[in-house]
Amino acid sequence: MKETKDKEVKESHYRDDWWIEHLENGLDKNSKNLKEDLDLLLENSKSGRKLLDSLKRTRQLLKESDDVTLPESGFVYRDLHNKIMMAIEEETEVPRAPEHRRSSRSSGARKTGILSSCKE
Amino acid sequence: MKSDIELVLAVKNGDRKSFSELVLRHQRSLLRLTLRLSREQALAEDIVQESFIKAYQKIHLFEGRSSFKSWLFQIALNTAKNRFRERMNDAVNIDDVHLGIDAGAENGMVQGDIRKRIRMEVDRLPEKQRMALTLRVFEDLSFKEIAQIMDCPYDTAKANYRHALLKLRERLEKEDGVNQWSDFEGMFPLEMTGTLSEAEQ
Repeated sequence: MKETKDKEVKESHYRDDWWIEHLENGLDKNSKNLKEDLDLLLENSKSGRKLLDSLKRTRQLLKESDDVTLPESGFVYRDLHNKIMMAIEEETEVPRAPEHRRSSRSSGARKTGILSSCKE
Repeated sequence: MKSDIELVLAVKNGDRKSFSELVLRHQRSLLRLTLRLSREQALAEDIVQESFIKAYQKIHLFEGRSSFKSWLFQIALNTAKNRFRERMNDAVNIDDVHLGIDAGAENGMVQGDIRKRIRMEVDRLPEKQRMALTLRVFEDLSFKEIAQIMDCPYDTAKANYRHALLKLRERLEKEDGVNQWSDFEGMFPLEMTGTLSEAEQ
């Protein structure tokens, strides 16, 4: 009885973020004691199990809600690849080490087009 | 088969074919990411194209501290943000804008469709939280990779994910009532209802 009460008291100190770490296998070696405590709590605490369960379900539902469908046709990828490589061939030189790039700029060899308009 | 790093080194030495191989290797996952961000195939393809071109242009800056894929994703994320920003009214703060949201989604939402509701709730999350959640849950990336892509500290990436998941859970539970979470049981195939829920009974 006393043990159960102790666990209930202890339970109130557990934080949601620890449960998420537990869920994501994010508890590293330094958190070994915490992981053991959480595992113990899971065995004995209905509310602890409920919380972890609801987090798991939220994550699973989220994954299930994925509505992104990639195009299946190989044409899409061939076309995309060709566009990328054509743009690169048309508008760039082979990339060089920074010092070479500086010397080519100083000689007035400036590029125009897509690449020159790209900003990080 | 050459590793990404070997291909990158070859590109740095002027081998354009190696970059072609990198494109073939990563264009699919990059398209999946940009489709998730933009929800428009044409725009997603444009962002992929621009991202690869930028990657080629800046490949001499890639030092291999992260994976090539993470670096590419980071470029794509920034490219996508720039594209979305271009579409926005200048007066709107980009950080307050929920990318990809369907303006009519809320009104047209079918009450019983939990998937739609989840997508809508995800769209309502702040951008950084939504991004961390997306990269973790849909792209199965580690927090280290997420931190590299989002260009933030490891703990920040984790915190964004944590806040997002907790917020999502809270909103879903609030809407359906804390004790009616079991209503979602039917949404899961049997194998997804784990031992924990069995232990409750």
